[in-house]
Amino acid sequence: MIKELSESLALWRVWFFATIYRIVLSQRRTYLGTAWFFVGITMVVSVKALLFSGILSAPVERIVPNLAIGMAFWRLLAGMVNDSCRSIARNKAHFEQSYFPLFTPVLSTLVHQGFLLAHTIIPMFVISVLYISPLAISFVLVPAALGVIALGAVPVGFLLAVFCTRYRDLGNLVNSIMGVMFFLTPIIWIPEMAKGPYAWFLYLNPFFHFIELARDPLVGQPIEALNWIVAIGITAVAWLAAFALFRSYGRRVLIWL
Amino acid sequence: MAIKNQGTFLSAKDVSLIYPKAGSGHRTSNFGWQSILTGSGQKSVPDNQGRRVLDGINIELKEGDRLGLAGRNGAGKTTLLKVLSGGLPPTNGIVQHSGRLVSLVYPQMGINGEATGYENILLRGLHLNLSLSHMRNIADEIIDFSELGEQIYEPVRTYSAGMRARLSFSIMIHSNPDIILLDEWIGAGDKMFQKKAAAKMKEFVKGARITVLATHNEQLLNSICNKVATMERGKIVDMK
Repeated sequence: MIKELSESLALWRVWFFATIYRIVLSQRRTYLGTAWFFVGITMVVSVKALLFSGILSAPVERIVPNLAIGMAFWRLLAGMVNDSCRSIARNKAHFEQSYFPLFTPVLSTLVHQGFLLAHTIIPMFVISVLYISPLAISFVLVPAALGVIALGAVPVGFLLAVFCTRYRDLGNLVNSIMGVMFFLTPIIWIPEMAKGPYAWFLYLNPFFHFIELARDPLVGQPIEALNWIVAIGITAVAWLAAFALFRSYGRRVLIWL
Repeated sequence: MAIKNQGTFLSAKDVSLIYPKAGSGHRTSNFGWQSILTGSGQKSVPDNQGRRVLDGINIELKEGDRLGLAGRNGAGKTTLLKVLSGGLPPTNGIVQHSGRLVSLVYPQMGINGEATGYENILLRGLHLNLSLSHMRNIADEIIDFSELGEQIYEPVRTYSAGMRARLSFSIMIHSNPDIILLDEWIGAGDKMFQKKAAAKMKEFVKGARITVLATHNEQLLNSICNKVATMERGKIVDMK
């Protein structure tokens, strides 16, 4: 699998340049171009901020940054999960035409979602600094958080891509689950609200841990070691699972295209 | 599998491919939509056995070989190209090649309608893992050969099918492959361009490289290929 992975990485022109080129082209005939990628989320977050800061009994300077940064990273994670499900199937022509390493479309999905995050994070960050005091020193952890997210996204994306190609129901199932997970993840609500007998539910949610990695330092919340341990643990397990899957099935998933 | 430093070759040893049957036989719950759309009398095929689309294929090609694949629709010509290119993994057997292989089973692949012809040359280059500066250097040659002229700066969505085919072929032939796999495709483009493409193919072939061409066009087979394999139900039944 190391060979497959290094061959995938070597095709950086495909998964990096060609992916970004394609996204930019998709907005070619619009006036705002790639700015559209943050117009939508800014509208959604503004309305939700107004609505939920009225409903929830928590200080607005906690709710709004939590929502804004949370939304940007939720879009990244949900986009990764949903897109990965189709990433091998969508590249049928690439795979059948000539040798194409299996990880290349997963990396392409990661670049795609990362490029969108680069757009959405700017207005979300502006919104959140309107409400919070100057940045905490923990800000330096953000690059590390992005690194862990990217490292986790590749094996998870690969597993999803392979299983969803083989079992076509799985993509729909994952899609439906992601719709539910949005509400189970503290984005429109804050983690401190998870109290009582069901509080442990929050800690079973992998998306919570991954979002908190990047969100805590950006909104000046204290860093929780648990989030890092769980996220790195999930990443390690996902890599092992990806290795095991590749070892036993190799490239045979391609006959299910 | 790509092998390095052995001169150009392409070989398939005892290659078979079995496709799983999912989708045709098994029942998908569809709340009756299936019977409304296609009628309820559709036969369903048992799901447990796969379909053998390639069966014991042996091919050995060395520099200068031009293999034509003949046979009726569904004989397995395109599938064989997909396996020879290293794309589809064979169920049994080994496929090996050495040299830069470019396959045109899906000639339109990677062509973006919103981008101009020129941008598509660059994009296609990225997909072939060639650098942007290299593609810019050879772009003029590609544009000349494609005869697209000023239209190369128009979005490809405004092109006719023939123009797109000319663009794809021109990029492919200028990407300096050692081995090319073509699928029933050289017939695209108008007569003038076809002649030119065939001439370029012959020139290419003289460069001691390998071509595999699947086609129904006997004239083309005879004028370009030095070997012809006739396929039937996934087997090579005749090799000349």
